[in-house]
Amino acid sequence: MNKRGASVVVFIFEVLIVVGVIAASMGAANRMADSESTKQTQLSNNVKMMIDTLISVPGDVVIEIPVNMTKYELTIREDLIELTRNGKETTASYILPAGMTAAGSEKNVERVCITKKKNFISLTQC
Amino acid sequence: MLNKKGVSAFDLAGKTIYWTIAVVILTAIIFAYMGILATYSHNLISTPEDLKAEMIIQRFTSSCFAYQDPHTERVYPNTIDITKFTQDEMNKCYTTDEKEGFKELNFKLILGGEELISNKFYQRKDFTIKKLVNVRDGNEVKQSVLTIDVQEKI
Repeated sequence: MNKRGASVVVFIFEVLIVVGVIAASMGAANRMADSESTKQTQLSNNVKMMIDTLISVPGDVVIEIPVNMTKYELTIREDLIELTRNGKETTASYILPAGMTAAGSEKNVERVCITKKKNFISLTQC
Repeated sequence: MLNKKGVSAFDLAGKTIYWTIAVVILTAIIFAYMGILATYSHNLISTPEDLKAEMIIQRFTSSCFAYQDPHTERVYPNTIDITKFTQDEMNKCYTTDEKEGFKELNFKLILGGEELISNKFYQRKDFTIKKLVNVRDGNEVKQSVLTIDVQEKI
């Protein structure tokens, strides 16, 4: 191979490497943006904030989680939310006022509501 | 100078230097990109601390310290009953875990001359939220500012 031919091969090789690095980076970014674990963590944080809001509302109230929950199992305990999908669990904690309790679990149900009745917060099917 | 294959020693040295620099720069770019992705991922799942604080603070103004009409039992959100604005009521309303509570948001509420703190508030103020509230003292209602100092996770 002459000198000019060699430099063209090196140039093509360089372009391939750069394209490969860009493709791998974009792939990693897309996987991260679409990742189920990210959505799951966001959802458990959102449920936590919904419960914080419920606590502050005087009186009874029902709110629906605005997400299709078919793929999830949601459990609320005294101070913890557990959200499970395919065996992977994310948690979020919250603080209840004295005298208030929370309990409930819903699994693979499309529409889940969080209900506050007097001093008890529970999960129900909407 | 050419070697047996007719390749210049200068060309060979030049390519070695070029590839060395290219590898270093590419590695740096990949690490920087990984850092950006990690930050992006963290930003995707994290909730701003002031939003979290706002969600919790609602309970102080709309539930725990809120005035409740003794006859109708109606609760008046955003109207603070001065007789309820006590440390005891604060402890009932928001008490973090005794051991790990410093990892949660903690608050200092200041209304008039009165100060209430949550159990793990160590006088570290990360940011302050002010709320315009009505304060009910007997039959008298007046407007006041409830100042809430927020201590983030330590």
